[in-house]
Amino acid sequence: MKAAAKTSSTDQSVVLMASLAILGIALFLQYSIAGFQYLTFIIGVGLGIVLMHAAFGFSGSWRVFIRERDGRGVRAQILLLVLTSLLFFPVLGQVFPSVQAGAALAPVGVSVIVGAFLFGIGMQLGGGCGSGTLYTMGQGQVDMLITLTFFIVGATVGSAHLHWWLALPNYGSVSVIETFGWWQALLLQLMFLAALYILVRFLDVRRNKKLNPVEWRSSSAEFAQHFIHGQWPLLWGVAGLAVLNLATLIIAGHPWSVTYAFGLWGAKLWSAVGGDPGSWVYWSAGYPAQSLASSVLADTTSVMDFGVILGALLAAALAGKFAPAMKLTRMRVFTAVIGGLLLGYGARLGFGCNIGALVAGISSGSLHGWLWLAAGFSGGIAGVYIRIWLKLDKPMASV
Amino acid sequence: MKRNQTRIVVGVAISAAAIAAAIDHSRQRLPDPDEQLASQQAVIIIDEGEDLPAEGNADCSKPAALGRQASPCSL
Repeated sequence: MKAAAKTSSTDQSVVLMASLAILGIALFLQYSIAGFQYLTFIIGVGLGIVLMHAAFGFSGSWRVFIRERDGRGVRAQILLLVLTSLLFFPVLGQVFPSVQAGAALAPVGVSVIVGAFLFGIGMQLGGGCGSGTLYTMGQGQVDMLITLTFFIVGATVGSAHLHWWLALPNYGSVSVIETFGWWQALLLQLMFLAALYILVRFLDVRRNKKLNPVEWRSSSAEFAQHFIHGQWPLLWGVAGLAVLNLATLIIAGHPWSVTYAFGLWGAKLWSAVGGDPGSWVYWSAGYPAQSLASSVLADTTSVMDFGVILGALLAAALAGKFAPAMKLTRMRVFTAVIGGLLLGYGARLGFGCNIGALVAGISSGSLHGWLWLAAGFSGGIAGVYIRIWLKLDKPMASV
Repeated sequence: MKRNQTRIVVGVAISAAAIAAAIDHSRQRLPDPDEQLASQQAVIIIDEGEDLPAEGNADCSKPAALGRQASPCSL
């Protein structure tokens, strides 16, 4: 009876439309764009399904940990970093010479610190991170549509300013794989991640006495229902994201990234209304210039983002959670606008978001990923206090 | 907003995005696979005797996806 009730709440018309859209776009990409673009789109769809069904987010998890020291979500994120590091380091260390893939490297400097800090604040105000904004928008949350719109604006403005920020002190890119060798660097990284996991666990137990586990089990009687309709245990999300991240690395040739596309879309829109982003330093040379002059469907990040949105839409419809009714207050619109701008501007300065800088950077052995984590989490703490100041949340209980 | 209103708003937004992508795709120059190689910024490690990726691509009649081996967020 329970399974039948769940099925009847599935939004069947939306499931059908989303499935047809996904199939149609994949076929169009297969026949229109050489290479494996259709595969990267399908990987994006998979990522959207995983993110939605596992409700795998960074913003809410960070806020719950900052406020209540409930570390379940943060521990799941650390486990994701462990898995992706184990998968990425051998590939990037050329253990498999036939697999050609590049790391997510970026300069270690002021730009990353400021960008990640702003992004961290934006996560708490905007209601999501890079991946979170995409999948909640795909789920049909109208406020996240506002966040995404201003995310694009912020990323575009950030691209116009990036050259100024890069003139500030930075040490250039630092790859621990190149510095130490892949397996030595992997051991070092796993030690740091283990220490971080122990710290989070310690802080959780000290405040809450009882540790909430990162769930991995679904009872066998409900397995099929959970798998198709969600809600997945968090560790299923970790496993799915790790595998799909590896698939992205192998097929696209670089780690999963999200927010580059937002700046590209904004630049293209600005160009369409008469602007000249091609004259900006960032868009005037190299890959940015090429992608600006080319079809958006030739940009892997854009195609994967489209996949994430549609995958999340499909998953939400299967779960009966598509386009929920919501109360859109003036304050929510305000925070979505400000949050989106901070997310976009911060992501451009920080060379990515929680996915492109944090997960991809750390998994690639780039030091900028760790710097991003520290600055981004600090921004998250600031964002939590700003939410309290704006009376969006109650003051934190004193320990 | 009621659920139906939300569905309409999201539907319109996604449709508008799809139309914008279609217009952009039809208007923009599609990348030449040879130009893609020239603009790549990441290091490509090739074993001796192996072809560069685009040279080994049998299907040169269609434009290639951009940005292989260049992590876009690192640009």
